[in-house]
Amino acid sequence: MGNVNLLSSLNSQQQLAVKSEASPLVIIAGPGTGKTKTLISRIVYLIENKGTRPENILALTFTKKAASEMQERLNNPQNNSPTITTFHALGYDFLTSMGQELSIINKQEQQEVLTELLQTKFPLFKNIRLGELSLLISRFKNKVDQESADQSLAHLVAAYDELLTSRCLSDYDDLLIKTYRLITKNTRLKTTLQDRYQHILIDEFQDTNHLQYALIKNLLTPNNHLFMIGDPRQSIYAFRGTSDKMFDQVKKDFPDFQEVTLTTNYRSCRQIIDSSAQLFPGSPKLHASRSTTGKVQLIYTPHAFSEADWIIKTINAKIGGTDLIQAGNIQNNQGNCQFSDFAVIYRTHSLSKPLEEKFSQSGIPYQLVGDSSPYEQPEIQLLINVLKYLQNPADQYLKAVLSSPLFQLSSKTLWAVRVIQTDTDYPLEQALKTAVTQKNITQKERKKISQFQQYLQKLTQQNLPSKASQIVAQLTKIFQLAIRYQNKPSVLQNIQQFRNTLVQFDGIPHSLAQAVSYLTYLEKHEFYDPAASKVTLLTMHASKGLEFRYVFICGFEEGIIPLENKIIDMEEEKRLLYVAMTRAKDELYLLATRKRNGQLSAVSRFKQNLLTDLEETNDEAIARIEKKQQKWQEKKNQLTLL
Amino acid sequence: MELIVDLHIHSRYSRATSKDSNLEGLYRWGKIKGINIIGTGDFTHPAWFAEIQDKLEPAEPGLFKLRQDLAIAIDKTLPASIRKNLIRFALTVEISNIYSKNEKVRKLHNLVIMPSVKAVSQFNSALERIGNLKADGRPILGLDSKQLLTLTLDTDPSALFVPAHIWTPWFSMFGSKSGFNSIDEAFEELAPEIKAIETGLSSDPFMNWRIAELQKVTIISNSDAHSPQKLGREATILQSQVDYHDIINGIKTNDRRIVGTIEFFPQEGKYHYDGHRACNIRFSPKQTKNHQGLCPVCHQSLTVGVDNRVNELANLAEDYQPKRHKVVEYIIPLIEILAEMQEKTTAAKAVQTAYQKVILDLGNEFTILRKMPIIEIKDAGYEALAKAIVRMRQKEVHVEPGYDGVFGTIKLFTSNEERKKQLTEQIGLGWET
Repeated sequence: MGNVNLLSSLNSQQQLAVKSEASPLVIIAGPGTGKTKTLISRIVYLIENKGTRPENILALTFTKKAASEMQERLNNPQNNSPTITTFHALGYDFLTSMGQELSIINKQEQQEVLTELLQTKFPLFKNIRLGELSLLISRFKNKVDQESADQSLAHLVAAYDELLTSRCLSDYDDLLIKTYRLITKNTRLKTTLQDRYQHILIDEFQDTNHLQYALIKNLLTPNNHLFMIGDPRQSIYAFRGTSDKMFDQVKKDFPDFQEVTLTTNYRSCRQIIDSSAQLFPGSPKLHASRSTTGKVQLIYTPHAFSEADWIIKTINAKIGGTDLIQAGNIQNNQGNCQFSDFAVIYRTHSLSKPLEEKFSQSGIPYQLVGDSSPYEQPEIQLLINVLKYLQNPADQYLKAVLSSPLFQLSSKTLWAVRVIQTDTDYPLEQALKTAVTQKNITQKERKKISQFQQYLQKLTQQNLPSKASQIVAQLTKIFQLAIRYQNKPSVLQNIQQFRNTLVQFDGIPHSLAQAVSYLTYLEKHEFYDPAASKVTLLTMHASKGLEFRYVFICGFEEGIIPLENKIIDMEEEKRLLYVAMTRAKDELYLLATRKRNGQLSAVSRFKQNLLTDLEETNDEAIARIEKKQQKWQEKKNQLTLL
Repeated sequence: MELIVDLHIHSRYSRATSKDSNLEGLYRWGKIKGINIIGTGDFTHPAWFAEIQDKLEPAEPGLFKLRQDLAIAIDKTLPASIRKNLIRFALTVEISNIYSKNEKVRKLHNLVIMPSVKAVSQFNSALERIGNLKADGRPILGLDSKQLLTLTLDTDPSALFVPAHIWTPWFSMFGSKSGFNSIDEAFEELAPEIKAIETGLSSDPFMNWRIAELQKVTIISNSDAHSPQKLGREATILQSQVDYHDIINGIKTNDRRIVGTIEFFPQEGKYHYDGHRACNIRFSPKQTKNHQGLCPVCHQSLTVGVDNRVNELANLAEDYQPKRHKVVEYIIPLIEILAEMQEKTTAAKAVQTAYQKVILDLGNEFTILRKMPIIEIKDAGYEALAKAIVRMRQKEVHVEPGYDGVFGTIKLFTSNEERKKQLTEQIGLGWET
């Protein structure tokens, strides 16, 4: 990137953000204001104009996906590139470089540890779901000031940590805590890091938690530069202990800060910017760079299936019809869109079922992102992990295979295997051999382990084919997936589809390695393939950072937006809606059903905020259904008369 | 030997198709019509592909025949006059490519023909990650046609890729609504890999030859049948061996193996003229020009038909004919001729019965329409039919061109009087009212 071009393509606020030498520098970057562009431009500017050595630059992102995307966009040669990573990965790399051996606890193991603690010492927490408890602990550990916290929780966390330490295990939070402790204790170390990272840039700063922030503060000297960019209105990870107040904290800690607000939105049409801004009355507004008005509409439909139908019908109309009949009936179908211009966004995965069903029938190409992605299903996860293991027979992959729900090993057993490993330092295979002789593991469980060993033996003894898709076919046989899932055609289909996906690597050398690297790429991008020409179905959380010409937000109803939960963080729910709405470039459709899951539904309370110039319409399906019901009622009345 | 080839058809797994669109139905109607090589259609559909593998078995290289037990059962129900006709299947599919290129949305239908079950499996696998193959026998892919072409040839170099019915307004390479202006524009450096195009019902080879670019490619015709009865509305005539590779190489090289095509009168096609179906407006290209392309009723732009679009892209005059060219035969489906003779619809019982009787007495439809000496038809007692076929063969027909999705009408006779006058001399046709 030539830096003359680079700077001239930025607006004056962005230029200021790129060139300013103030520290800390706080950039408030609302949706579509060129956040990533500004961040990347600053890195390039530092290197090319200010002569900063790339290794003196540390850029921290919130997700692995964002880090890989930024690396791709920066496109620097590998040997001479700045450190672009996540907080956790930074901690991991740092600790391992200090010679620490780290073993990260997985979800099942953590659950087993927690169950054990609840049964023995902490019956008080028995009514809390394990997943939630895990979040509670994580939030607690990420607080710098832990004194104000609940004492019983503090005790639980202490016991939990102790147990982990005794097994040489860490959880993700420990990566940060240990790093933090090392740095605060060891001044020499701290100075080395301070000298190294002269420029620290933090992306999505609103998602930073207190511990992460404290860690960064420790790396600062008067000579270092801290650059933070983000948007407090897009802070959507309160459940992980982040807060939209982080920016205020910085301002309090560093009165010399400089703040630059990027106020031009290049993404969305005016109507979308204005409408979403109404969620935060009184806050400064973004200016639309685009001259088109755009469209924001609220549509009422009878139920979840008609909601899906309406979306599909609208996509068809925008595409100008996907078959002859539609094409002939749609006037003015000279639009210029492709399937990847559309996204359907929902609050929770549970809403995706009817959508997926309807999309699958429609013939429109689509992709599901996140947990409900076909790749995230246990059968595919197993295959992916085995492929990784075959490519690189390391314990971590074998462990992932072993933990597959397919083998039904209880978390207690998995934990016992782990204990053997830490006690003896055996590799996993060896540890399993010991496990089958141990009395503290039930006979049933030991049988399951033997079974697993048999699979493993087959895997290592058989001559596997060289082509990736054929390897999958072989694995399907080895693990008897066809028999196991004979009553689940959707699972079998998923496996078949996965196998088909890998055919693309069949013809090329190092087929398996290529396939694994592709799968790793997809994994890093949460199984979202931005290059695919498909309609994207995803949650509000997953939609962050993405943009689409046309966005449909489903379930704009009470109980869903905001999500009905034990504790509703109304502001957080509002920010989530804001994130979802601001993904839209041209047109935004909010959909509310009359009835969902057989229950009457009411439109979301946030409609009140959006009321000004919100266009409301009824899906034709409502009239159709009402007519039917009326007829039926008349018929019923007649019958009663007779 | 002479082979009649129809490579573009759909199974019951495509939208808006007949329930009878199964392999048995295609086999039966192939014999009735006199077609030798029939495309399976829809091979990307998992259920249909499974059915193909179950009910067809390998025959000559790259070709398939109906499983023997099924074939015997059907043959028993067919008259001896057509029982012996050779029927082979080729693996084919039509794909709907919807994508954006050079700032415009493009919708092209493309025909892909593959030589083996293995190649199809591999091809389907690649497509599965791009699109949704289960929903429609003609799958929609958000994939550039050029990439589909690459994928086709990468899968198997002996596969054939043909842009389908290239002139229809909505879904074709040269379509007025969402197509391109040249093969080069659509396929860029891979344009030379486009060896053949399909005329579609609304155009004939003469119209296509007016575009210089199309004189370099083979022109083929197929029925695009959505029910087996519609097989062979159009077809390609080859002089080749019963062998996939001989047929496909013939098509790829346009050599002597390609004899020519059997055509609809292009005016009968649904998109020959311009117009608006909803507004009852049918315009010739000239009329459309006089109205600045707008519908006088609703003032929206008219659906521009094939005739107009050909004029737009043609580099050669309307009456241009190449000095030497392949055979172009025009037909009217036999059932339509019989219906017109009886002044009934093609669905009428009497017409259907008459059709069956003619086939029983004379043999398959294409032989009757194309080749059978008139005297033979007469001698079999079908004097009126013989006269009608003479008129058809001499192209003495009256046309009302189709437009905006409405089929055109082709009449052998302009009025009842004429029909009676022409046919009165004949006697003894029980089914003539």
